[in-house]
Amino acid sequence: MTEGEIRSDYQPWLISRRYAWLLAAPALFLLVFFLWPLIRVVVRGFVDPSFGLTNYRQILASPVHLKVLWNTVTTAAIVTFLCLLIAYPVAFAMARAKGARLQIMAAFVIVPLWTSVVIRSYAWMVVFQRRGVLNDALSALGVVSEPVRFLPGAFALNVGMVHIMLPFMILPLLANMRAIDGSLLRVAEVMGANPLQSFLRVFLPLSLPGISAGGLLVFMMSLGFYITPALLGGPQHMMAAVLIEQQANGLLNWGLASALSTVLLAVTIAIYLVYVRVTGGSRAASDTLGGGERS
Amino acid sequence: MASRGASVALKGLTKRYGTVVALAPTDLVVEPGEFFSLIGPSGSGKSTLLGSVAGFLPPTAGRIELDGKDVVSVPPYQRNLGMVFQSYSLFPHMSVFENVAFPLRLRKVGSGEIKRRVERMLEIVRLPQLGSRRPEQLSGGQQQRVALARAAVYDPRLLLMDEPLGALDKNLREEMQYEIRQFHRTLGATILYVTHDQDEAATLSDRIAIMKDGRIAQVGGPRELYEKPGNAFVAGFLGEANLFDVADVKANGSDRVLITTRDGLQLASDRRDASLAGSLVACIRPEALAIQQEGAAPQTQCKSYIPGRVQDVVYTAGTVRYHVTTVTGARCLVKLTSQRHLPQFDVGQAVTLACSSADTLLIQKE
Amino acid sequence: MLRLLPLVRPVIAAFVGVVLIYLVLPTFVVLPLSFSAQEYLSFPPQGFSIKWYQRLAANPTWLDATLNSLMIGIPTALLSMVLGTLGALAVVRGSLVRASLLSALLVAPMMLPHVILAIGLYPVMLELGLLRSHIAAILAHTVIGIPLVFLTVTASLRSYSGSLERAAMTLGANLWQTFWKVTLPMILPGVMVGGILAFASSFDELMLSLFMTGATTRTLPRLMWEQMSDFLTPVIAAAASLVFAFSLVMLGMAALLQKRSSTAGGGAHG
Repeated sequence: MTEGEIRSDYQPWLISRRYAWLLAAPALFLLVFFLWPLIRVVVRGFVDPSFGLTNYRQILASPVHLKVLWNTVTTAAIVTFLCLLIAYPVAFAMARAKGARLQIMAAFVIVPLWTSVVIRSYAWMVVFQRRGVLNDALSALGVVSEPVRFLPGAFALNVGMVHIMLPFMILPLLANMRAIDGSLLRVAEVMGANPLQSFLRVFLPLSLPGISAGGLLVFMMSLGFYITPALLGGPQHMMAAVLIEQQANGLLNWGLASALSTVLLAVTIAIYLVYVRVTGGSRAASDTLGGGERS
Repeated sequence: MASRGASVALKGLTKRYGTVVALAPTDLVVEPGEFFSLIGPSGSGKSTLLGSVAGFLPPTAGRIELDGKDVVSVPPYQRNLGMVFQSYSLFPHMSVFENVAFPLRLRKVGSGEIKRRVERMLEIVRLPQLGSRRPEQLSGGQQQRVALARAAVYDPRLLLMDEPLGALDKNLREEMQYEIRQFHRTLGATILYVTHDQDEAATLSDRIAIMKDGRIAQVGGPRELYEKPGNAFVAGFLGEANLFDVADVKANGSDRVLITTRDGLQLASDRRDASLAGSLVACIRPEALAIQQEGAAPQTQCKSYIPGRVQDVVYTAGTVRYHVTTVTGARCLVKLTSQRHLPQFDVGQAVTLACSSADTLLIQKE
Repeated sequence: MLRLLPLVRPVIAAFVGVVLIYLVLPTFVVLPLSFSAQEYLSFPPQGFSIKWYQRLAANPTWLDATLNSLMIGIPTALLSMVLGTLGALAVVRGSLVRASLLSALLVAPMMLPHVILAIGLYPVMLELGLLRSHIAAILAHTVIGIPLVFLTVTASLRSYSGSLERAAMTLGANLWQTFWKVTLPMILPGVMVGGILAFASSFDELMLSLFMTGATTRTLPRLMWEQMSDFLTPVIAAAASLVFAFSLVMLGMAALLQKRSSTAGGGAHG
């Protein structure tokens, strides 16, 4: 029995009630500058240029728009899947590393996070352009006789996006894996499981929270991504954010842009709700993403 | 000269959470300078009571009087009491010195005076050279001593302690119990101490309150509580006891009664001032039972004889416990300090347990 | 942990090595590029010259953009630190009814596509008459900065229990003193790290800046973006390298602060 049993009720000097009021300022700020704009976007989709479903009909009628939306979801899914495949072994290796080795590996993961996305996407352009690193290397190796046209294209886009998203998959996986109790695997070994079995039946299931947290993060970020798709994807592989920006800034078609945004928003929220339902609680998300190790 | 300890009086102190009663209306008086412990099982209300006195749990009803003044509406930081927690709660971003100096700085004491008082306090808790260390560099026992020093440096007249030794291992705990006793004598403050460890309470306290289900079952000194338990719960909670439900009581002479237990044992008890109404229980402490061979000669000072058979023999450092099943099927515990010249009994052996009427207590069940 | 079959280990090690190189590759493509002596982008760069850096320093457009980014980034960090910390204190220490819902609200801006927020804020800023000003960008960047501070301060608060604050109160500290002398010093590293993260995210942010800033208040990412489409010279590589160096310094500071907070806060628990 610890003082954890001493809970606080309402009395003026008790801390918890006072603390609750502190929420007023940030909540108000986000209400005005976050929720209100979002609501306006949704409303505008139904109001501009005329009241009703004009914009949505336009979207449904346009194969280009539908293709973009479809592209967005599929690219996000592909990128998430690839990230998972690539990140899992890396996180696994990092979870077992200690001391200097871990620091070095962590630096490799975190340094790109701190390099601007614009810069990194630009760098991939340099790599993939006609007289860029990749083509030069391929010519030097004699694999191709002429420079390959990577830009703009699906391959370059996927490589670029996976690169940007990889740290966001590695870190949640890593946090989760480090917290897995090593003694559980030893117990499995004693009970007769070979390494493959103890991995499949013990480790893998225990790493699921990290997989779903990382997967959610990467998928949601990929859905709304602008910079890399704009630079590397081109018109053939346009993604939603690029289309929306074009409609709003370029064509001044704010109503359509709003409607497209609403669709994107709906998809993003739907994915989040699926995640909450599957993992049983939104607390899991903000915990795992925000320092689950500590709490 | 006024005592350096505060008097504490709880009048009708109650705490309810909706329909759940954490603390039933409770009255308690703690004398100035007394070391007073609250013990009881989990959920008995002892932490609730302490939390109310500290100021973190505003009571649903009742008064809390410190030195005669009701403090229920006074915030904790104005009650001028000291508190020590199980988790020490030392400020990790401050050195040991700064931790202990913290309450003095709040009270705007001059730095020369602060230095003097902090160093004196660290001397008292026997950590004189550790002022510049950080809490995480200290062991558990050292941290708890710093917590004590910090809670007492501003001479509060009442010190609250919530299971302060719970996180320490056994040997360290005993050492710290000694320290706390010395501490109490040096300071003279009133101490209100919560613990689940009855031996600890008995070692440290002038008086103890045993709590159960939000109520105080009995208040008294360690000896009084053990030798004159008010009811079966108290008797069973402190130390070990052999308890028998009573079926019938017959007066037998001026000062003795003959008890027939529910399962048919006959016991003789000196009549005490226990009232004979309601459900009764006969209580015999294990160390009051003598164990002898079946059919051995009766001894004059014993008036109750219980035949039985030894079920188990347990030896712990210096003590032998015989678990005996009586002929009526009841289970009895006999506790003896092990001495080589005493006869030893084996499992399965038929024995007779003997007890004097002075040691056979008749108490209320509830 | 697992004792893997002898064959699997080197395969995984090789794979991990390749991935790690893949992660840092672009960054280290840009750096040597900025020292290229040629007038156009090509890799590997020929010659060595610092002329791009010189051009950068001499070019008022780039200097203005850098200044704008700082003038927006620093207030963003400060505002995010204040609001994010308040939110974290309320959610972790205040016993609120729907704490998880409020947590989700405070973290949401980080998760949703910036483009939606950008087109939503545009008319709002227009109506407030703030469009194309620094303030518009500051407000917009703060929206995405708050979650970052919220998450770091929440982690910091959760690493020690409320008993420290209760202890301070029994020792005589009232609410304000408890906050200043106990709570704030404990969470300060978390607040600072959050602030650095908020600054970095503002410094790097493109989409909101595209909508919120104008020609005179252009931020560095926006300028780079515009230049990128027009003509590609190593000037951008120089700018990118500088930004990268700056980010590394920020990262270093954040790492140092994390280290200090973990040694300071390691003592009390429960």
